[in-house]
Amino acid sequence: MNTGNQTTYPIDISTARITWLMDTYFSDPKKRIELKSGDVLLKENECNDRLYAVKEGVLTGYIRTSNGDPCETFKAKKQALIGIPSFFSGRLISLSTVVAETDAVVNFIDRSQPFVPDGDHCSLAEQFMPMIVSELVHRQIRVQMMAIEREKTLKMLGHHEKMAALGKISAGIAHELNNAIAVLMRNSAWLADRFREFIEKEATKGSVFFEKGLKEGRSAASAYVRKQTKTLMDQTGIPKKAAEQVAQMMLDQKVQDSLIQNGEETIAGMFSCWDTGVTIKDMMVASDHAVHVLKSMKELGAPQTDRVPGIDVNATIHEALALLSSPLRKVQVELSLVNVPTITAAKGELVQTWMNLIQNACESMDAGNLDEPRLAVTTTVSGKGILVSVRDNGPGIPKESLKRIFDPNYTTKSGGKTFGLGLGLTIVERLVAQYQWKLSVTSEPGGTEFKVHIPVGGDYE
Amino acid sequence: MSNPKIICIDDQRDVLAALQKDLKPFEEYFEILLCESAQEAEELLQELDANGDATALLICDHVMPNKNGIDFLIELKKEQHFSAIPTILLTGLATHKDTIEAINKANIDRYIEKPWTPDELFKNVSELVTRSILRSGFDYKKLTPVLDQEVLLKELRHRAFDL
Repeated sequence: MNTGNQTTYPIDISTARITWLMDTYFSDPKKRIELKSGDVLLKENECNDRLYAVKEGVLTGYIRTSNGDPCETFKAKKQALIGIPSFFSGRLISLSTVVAETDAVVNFIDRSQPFVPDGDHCSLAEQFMPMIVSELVHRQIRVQMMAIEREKTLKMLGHHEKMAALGKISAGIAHELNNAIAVLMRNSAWLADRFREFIEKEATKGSVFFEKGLKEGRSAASAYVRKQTKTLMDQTGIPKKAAEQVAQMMLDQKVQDSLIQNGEETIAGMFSCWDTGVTIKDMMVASDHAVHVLKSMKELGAPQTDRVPGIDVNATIHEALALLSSPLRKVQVELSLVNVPTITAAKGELVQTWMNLIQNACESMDAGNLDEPRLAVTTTVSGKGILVSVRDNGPGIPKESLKRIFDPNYTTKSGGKTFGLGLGLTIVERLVAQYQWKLSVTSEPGGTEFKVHIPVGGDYE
Repeated sequence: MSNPKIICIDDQRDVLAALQKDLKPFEEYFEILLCESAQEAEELLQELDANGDATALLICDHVMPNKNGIDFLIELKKEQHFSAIPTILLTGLATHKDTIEAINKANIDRYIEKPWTPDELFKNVSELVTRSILRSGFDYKKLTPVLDQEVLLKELRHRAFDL
């Protein structure tokens, strides 16, 4: 275990003992090596018949993985011993490559080192026994931690593979459907034009009702229609069916009064024109919806875009907000962005991540019918990295649902006004996983917060 | 007595409209009522019950905000006044697990996948309202154009044996 400047051992070794060993065996100026940062002390799998002690500085041990990448195995600070396994086993081959991370000073002993009696022990090996055991314990702990890490990584990979597979399949389906959707969209628009021509010629009075239906769609809620139907029946005496038709169209008072005066048959005729307009509008809205859904699916399967260094997270947040300026018009946005270090990432993916989180927040606040929807986006920097937080004051996500919100099929959105089949958060989760960042969410009525933690510095760049 | 009701529940207005169009053959004999949420349907059912109106059938979507269709249908089965109303689950998305729950706990009578075909819809609605009408003692003779002949005969045969 390495804490602070000095090496501390996983088992109890008295300071006196360590100091005595350092002074006795590792103080010979003839057996002292000074290293500059980057110098290689030992090479993996090469002969080493020395036991080193670190007097100053920090050295790092690496082994090479199967694809040649270096993997850090230990950090040796002051009073640490390097080479215990090879020295005391007689194997005399270094297990790791050891490089000076900072400028450093090491002292060594070799196999010719004579034993210096201390009145307690009979051999050099005996004197070093606690350090040897400590080294073994240390390695054991490391193996355990690596096993845990491996489990986590395997699980994450399995998850990744699933997402990647899902993405690929989705993209394929999306591609297929796009043609069909295009046909539907174009033909609906064509149908609208043909009907418009027809009605202007054959039944001009119905034109204005057709256009209203086509433009506004079905704006009357079912509960409203039921109530209004009763009201109209009471007020005007028209039969139920006619009243229901008038109620559905939600006409201006003057137009409505005039229409009612014309009687049941005219009402039915005008309603028919309105209904045709609305139905075509429904077709166009549905096609539009399908297009958005397919777009989300395609994004899910998109290959990794190029990551470049020097990306400013704050800039990507600004861009996301700019792209969502329309849905954010009614929302009070509170921005608090501190100076953040740049990272290596694909700008588009970052922008998309923030957009999906912000959009989710907007939709939640919309569903909650808030008088004062508020969105707070903040970045903060700590020793561990950058933390991006997106917070809304919406109705929140119920506890049972929290686990499911990242599922591709989960959505609570309704009415066809918002698009997507709930893939927004799935895409966020996928992107965060690919970057090996951390995503967390907390939610209660009145506030939901998504946090993305981007580790910065050291091994992560 | 007013016509028996067929209640449709779906959070998407355009789906309700499309459904209503396909239920046109039943319009003459049943009142088609539309609801955009489970809550709205609950209120409507209470209202109808208070007025002494009969509901012949419930056609319900599953994925809806707040309360979903299957949960709603499960609750309905627990209420004595409404548990006898036949139900059709009409849905674009229900997992295997959801479907099992719908069958076992909500005791749905039919499960239809979206998009539905008008013929399939007609047949299922016809069978269920036929049975529902006969069991509630309604005068079925006026409704024969939309009643299912097979179900009609079966129910009448049962009736004959009961006497």
